Amino acid sequence: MSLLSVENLSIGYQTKKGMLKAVDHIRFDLEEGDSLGFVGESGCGKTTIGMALMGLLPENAEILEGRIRFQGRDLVLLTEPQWRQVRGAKVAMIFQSAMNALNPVFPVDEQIKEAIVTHQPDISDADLSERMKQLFDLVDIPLARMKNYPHEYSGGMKQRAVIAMALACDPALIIADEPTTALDVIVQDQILREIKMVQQKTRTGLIFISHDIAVVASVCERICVMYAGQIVETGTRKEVFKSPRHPYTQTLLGSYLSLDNLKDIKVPDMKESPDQLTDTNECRFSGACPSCDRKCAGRSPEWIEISPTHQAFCCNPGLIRRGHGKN
Amino acid sequence: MAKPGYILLKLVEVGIIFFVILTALFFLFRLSPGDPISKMVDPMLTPEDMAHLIQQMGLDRPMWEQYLIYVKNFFTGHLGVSFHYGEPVETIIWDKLKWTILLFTTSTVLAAFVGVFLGKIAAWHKGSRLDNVMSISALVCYTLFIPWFALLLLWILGFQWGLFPLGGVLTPALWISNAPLITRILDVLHHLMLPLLTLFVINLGSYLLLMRSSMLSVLSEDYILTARAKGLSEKVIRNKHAARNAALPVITSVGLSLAFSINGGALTEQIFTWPGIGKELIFAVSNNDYPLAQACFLLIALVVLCANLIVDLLYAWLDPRITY
Amino acid sequence: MGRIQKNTSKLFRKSCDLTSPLCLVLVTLAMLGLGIVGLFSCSQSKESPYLKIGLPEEPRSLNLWLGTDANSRNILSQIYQPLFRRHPETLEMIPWLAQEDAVFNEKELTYTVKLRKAKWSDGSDFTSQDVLFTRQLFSDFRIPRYHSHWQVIEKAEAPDDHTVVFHLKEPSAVFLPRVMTAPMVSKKEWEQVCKDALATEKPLRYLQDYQIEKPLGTGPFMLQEYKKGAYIHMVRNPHFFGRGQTIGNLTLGPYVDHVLFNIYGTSDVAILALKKGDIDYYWWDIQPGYLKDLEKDSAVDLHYNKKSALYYLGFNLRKAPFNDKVLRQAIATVVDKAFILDRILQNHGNPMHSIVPAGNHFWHNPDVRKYGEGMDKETRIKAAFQMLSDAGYSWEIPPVAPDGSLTKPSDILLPSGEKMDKFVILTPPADYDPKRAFAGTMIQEWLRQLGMNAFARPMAFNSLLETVKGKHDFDAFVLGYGKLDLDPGYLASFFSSKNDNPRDWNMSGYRNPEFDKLAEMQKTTVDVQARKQMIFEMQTMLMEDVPYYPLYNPHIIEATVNKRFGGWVERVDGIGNIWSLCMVQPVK
Repeated sequence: MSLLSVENLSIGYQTKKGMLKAVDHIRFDLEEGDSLGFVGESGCGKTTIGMALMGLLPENAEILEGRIRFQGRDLVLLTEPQWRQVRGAKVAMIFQSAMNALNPVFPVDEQIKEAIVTHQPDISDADLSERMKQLFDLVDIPLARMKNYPHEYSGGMKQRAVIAMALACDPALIIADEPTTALDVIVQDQILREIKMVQQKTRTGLIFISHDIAVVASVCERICVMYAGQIVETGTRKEVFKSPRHPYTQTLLGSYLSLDNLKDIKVPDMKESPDQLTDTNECRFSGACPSCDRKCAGRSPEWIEISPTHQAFCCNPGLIRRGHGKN
Repeated sequence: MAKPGYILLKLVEVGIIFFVILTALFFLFRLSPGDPISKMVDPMLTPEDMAHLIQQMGLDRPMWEQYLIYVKNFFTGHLGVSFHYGEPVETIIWDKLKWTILLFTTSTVLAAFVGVFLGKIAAWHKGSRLDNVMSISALVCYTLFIPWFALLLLWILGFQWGLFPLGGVLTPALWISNAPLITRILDVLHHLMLPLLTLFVINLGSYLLLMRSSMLSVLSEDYILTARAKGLSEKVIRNKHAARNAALPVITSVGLSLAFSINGGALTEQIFTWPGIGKELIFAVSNNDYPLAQACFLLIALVVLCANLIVDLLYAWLDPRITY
Repeated sequence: MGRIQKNTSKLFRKSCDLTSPLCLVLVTLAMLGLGIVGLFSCSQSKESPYLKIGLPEEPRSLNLWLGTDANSRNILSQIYQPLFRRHPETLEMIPWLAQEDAVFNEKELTYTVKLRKAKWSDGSDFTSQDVLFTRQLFSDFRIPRYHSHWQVIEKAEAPDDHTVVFHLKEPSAVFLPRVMTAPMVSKKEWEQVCKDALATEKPLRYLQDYQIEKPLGTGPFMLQEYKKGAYIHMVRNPHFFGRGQTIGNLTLGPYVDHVLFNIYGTSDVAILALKKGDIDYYWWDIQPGYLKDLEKDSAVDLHYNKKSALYYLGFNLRKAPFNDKVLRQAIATVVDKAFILDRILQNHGNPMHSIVPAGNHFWHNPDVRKYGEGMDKETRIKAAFQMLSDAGYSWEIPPVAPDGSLTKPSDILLPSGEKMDKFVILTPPADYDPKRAFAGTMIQEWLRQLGMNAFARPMAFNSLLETVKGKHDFDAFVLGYGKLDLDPGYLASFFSSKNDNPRDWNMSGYRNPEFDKLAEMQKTTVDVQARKQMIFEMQTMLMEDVPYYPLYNPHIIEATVNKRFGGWVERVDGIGNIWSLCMVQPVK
């Protein structure tokens, strides 16, 4: 049985203008020790999924339908006290802004110990220090720096401390939401390698959320591309990266500059963002899709299989199978 | 953390500022209109009498000479004798200061404690009925007009219901008949209640709102989300992670309030006939009682300067991010 | 450091959490508890036999030489007594510490005073040595207020223990009312202090700063305890010489054994204390605003008495155009005193027509010139208009049109043709004395009806005195004397030319040689009737020239509680006097 199985999940935000559907009929699975990346631009709903998996959705958010099966339980049905036992212990999160993710008035080791002690109140002092040493070794922070305050750490060190904190209770699943966005490229590179190494070592399930497809591809085995609250393409990293089929994925990849494609650059023509207020079955990308034609009008997108591991969500099967767009 | 070198530097700074204040006070008083005699509008006083009184107060000497005597006296520990009361200034100040501290410092401490506690809760339940009630009540308390509120309390609790005395610090009958010490202490506490309540209610509002706003800004910080993600209980997040950070600016405010509490409050002291230093200060200034007025202001300056320094150091001690 | 911080943060956390609700609960409980205690203690104090008097402010000092404020004097006047005093009803000088009237020898200019066989509060005898000592003290220290009057004594002798003979340098009209009303002090008590004081650089200061524990006095009460900031406890002086004496229709006591003085910071609270019965008398004016409420209370008696007070509009005669008598008289005409009495004083007072208040019935001249008496607004303006026009003042648009109707006038022009400058009427601020401040505002309005650019300006009291008395830099002002001595000698002080100096008593700059002559003469006129004539004439001159225009004379309104004590003696300037304290007794 998979570690995590999300079925038909829809999440909406109650706004003044009405119910905004941030996540629309999502489904995906994650096996133990597996890593899955979610890519998309801001507002596509990837962070909402991350929050939902932690039970940290804001007050105005509502799970409209669907199930999140994790280790045999449906997380959608959990009460707050039950969530408190799951969070940190079974599912942990690595946040985006490491700058402020740690409380400035407590030393770093105390904060990590807190995570452990909350879920294992009877742990002995010896075991606790042993565990702390393990964690710091794992993320490559010198033990001498354990008792420092967060402001005494560099950006990269802080992020590594956050990673250590997420791993503290040996969770089965880690969700990393844009963990390197706030870091400079060199540190980013280090951290990504760190995450990958740690994940493989501890065999923890990883869900990696980012707007940067290259980052996701370097860490995750499989990738889900999201647009306007829906998954539009899913596949192994090689498949998605090397042969993207969905027009949106192609646009996303095409917006990267590289010495190879300087001439072929086509900056995606992003018109208005899709209207996620109205409930519709039509293709949400139609407004900006370069391959949109008369055939798409009136048709609803559906899942089209390219290979057993590679699918795309489009209303133009031919386009998908062909692999080339009109670009 | 504050290094010893920093502390030393600060102390020297305090000393210099204090001396500047010493000088400024001297000139401020003597250059303002009027003198200790000018208010004596008594037809029986002849101009010769007035000149004689001025001479006896040493105010006929040239200004620079007076200043030198003043500075010399200060450094030899002679703060002077009040023109108005004829008593050494230290005696007067000590007599009054102890009552001021008893009332104002106690009320500040109580209001701070309770205000911070309630503010923490109000912020935690932001937007709820409880928060709205607390915030509005705090605002109302904060804007209450002291004389009106004090009089209201006196009228209802003191006069109509007869539960509390109408001002003063003690019941003469008990002191004259030499009642046992415990009775006398209770008597003073009994007299303390109404002024304490007045000040408590009025100050509570500001601490509540201050803590609430500080908490709200802390609650939107990322580390609160981290704490949630760790699976900590609401109470732990609120008290350990949020309140601890939110309290830092509040501590500065409370520290300074404590310093200023020795100012007393002339209005409160007047209405409750509380023999504190606030009222005395105002009288001293309006009567041109230079020695007393100067000494009072110097005391306030000293306490405020020291409090500022202490609060700075305290903040550095509590917030590891700050180093001097 | 880390551990200390950890522990304090634990403490802090705890305190943020546990102690605060605990505090709240504790405080509430404490309050309730004390409230209940209060109920008991309050009921106990009702049995106490003390006469309780409320004061508005802490007395400045119980040292006779420093305690010159009203509250100190109230208390000290129960202790230190003079040789002569004013009769409670007739206001004439009567012997007090003196045995009988002083014998005046006109040829030799001596007064022989026989002393009563009185005792000090410690039982020692009051003798002529004490009187001589007191005189020496006044002279050695040049005691303000007393020395200037006692200087008229050339020398004093004590032929025996109970006789003093005073030799004067010149005849003095005020020997009895001013010299003989000085308090007598005990040689025994003050001798050493004086010696020590005279050895210092600032002897008067030393004397004034001397902290006296149990002042020796010959009065009805003596000081038992002074608890600063709380209360003053006085007890009956068993050696009081006046006990059993009959003066007028008063047979003196005192009939209370204890008097307790309490301080109340505001009138509001003092009135509450009065109504609650915490005090029997509040020794201060009651503002008219409280009267409605107090009148309804059957336990409270209100006392209305005349005041020897003067509230007036003063001009600067040194400055044009106020040096023009007609202008001043016109201004006097247009000021509506009845209106002031009605609106500002709410009819608790009398309009004032002379510098000597009507309550001082012996010296008051009722026949001086009165301005605007009985006139209504229209008549008033017309009369003033007439006076001014006749004197050469003009307007482009006069206040009274040719057809006799009133109009809003343009600016008034001086006889020289120039426009009259705007001028400022200085008053004390409204929070210091609302009556004077409002009077100023009303006068401003009335003057504007005549086309005068008047502006009433409140000014802080200190600055006001400095400007008016110190620098003579003003146009007009509204000031007052709350307690004028009953002897009219101040007329000479206020209006003699020789007192027209900075910081001296002649603030208006009035210079009238005729007046000066009379002022000098009355000082040495011992014959009371002859002096009275002079004083009367001085008043006539003053009201003709109007350097000051008297406005109003408020009543003094006081309140007492009638349930426990009665017998207050009504007198000019109120019931707070030594007679009341000697006569007040518990009500059966």
